[in-house]
Amino acid sequence: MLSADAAFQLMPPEAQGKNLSVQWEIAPGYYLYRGRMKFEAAEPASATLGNVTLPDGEKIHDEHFGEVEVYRTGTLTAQMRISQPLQKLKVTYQGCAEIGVCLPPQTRIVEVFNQP
Amino acid sequence: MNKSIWLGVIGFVAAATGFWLSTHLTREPAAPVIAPALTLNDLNGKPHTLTDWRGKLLLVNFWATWCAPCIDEIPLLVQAQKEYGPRGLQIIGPAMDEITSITPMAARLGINYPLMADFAQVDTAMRLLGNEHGGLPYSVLISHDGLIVKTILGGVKKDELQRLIETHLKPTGTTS
Repeated sequence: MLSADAAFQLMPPEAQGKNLSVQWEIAPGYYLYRGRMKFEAAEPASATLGNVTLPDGEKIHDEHFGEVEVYRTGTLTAQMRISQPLQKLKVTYQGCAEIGVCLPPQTRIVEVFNQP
Repeated sequence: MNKSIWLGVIGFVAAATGFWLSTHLTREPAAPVIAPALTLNDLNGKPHTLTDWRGKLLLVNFWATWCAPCIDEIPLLVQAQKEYGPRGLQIIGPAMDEITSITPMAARLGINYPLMADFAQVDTAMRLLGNEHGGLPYSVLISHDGLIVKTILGGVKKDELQRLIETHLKPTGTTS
């Protein structure tokens, strides 16, 4: 059983102008829920995020949660627009292992790499 | 068959066994371990320690409303509490969740055992009971005299649960 950080490796977000990308490496045998991802500006908190786009995930019917979309093993990239240069981003995400164990929601405040 | 081939076969079998063990996440402590005197607040905010249920076979089931495998096994636990409660089983359900999320789900599932909810408190308790990475569901079986007899990461199957309970319940007629 991997830790959440090992199962869902969150890479330092990269900003180029007003375009911000956030990337995870999802370990084999694990998946993230699209609907449990959240992005917030942390520093400055006044910055706004918009146009968050994610690739199409795998649609599955969950007995308890209905229709959900998940991302399995591999690289996952979220793109968004930022209103102003961002130093830190707050990211929340949650996922499970395919063997039937779920890891708690994770919240990370990460430094943004602003490309020159 | 020469020596190197035999070594290869033995190595493969060992690796396969290790893989099997790693995917079956049930553990028994190598030596008796006394369950720590954890405090968990129930949904009314009243604190409980695990020793409140000394004398019972205690099954501590850590779960959450955002955890599908957790919800899957709850009907099994409800049935077990109903069937084995009179014989000395006590299940408790600390949740890594908000009370506002737990309450409606508990009603819907007919949960018939005490629940607790406090994300940080439950997370701490779970790690003290051996769940290093905080995965759910996670169950800990504690004997009537306070010893951890089994931990299970992942959902528990009906026949496995019945066997565990039957094995560790005090025989009827036994006094503490």
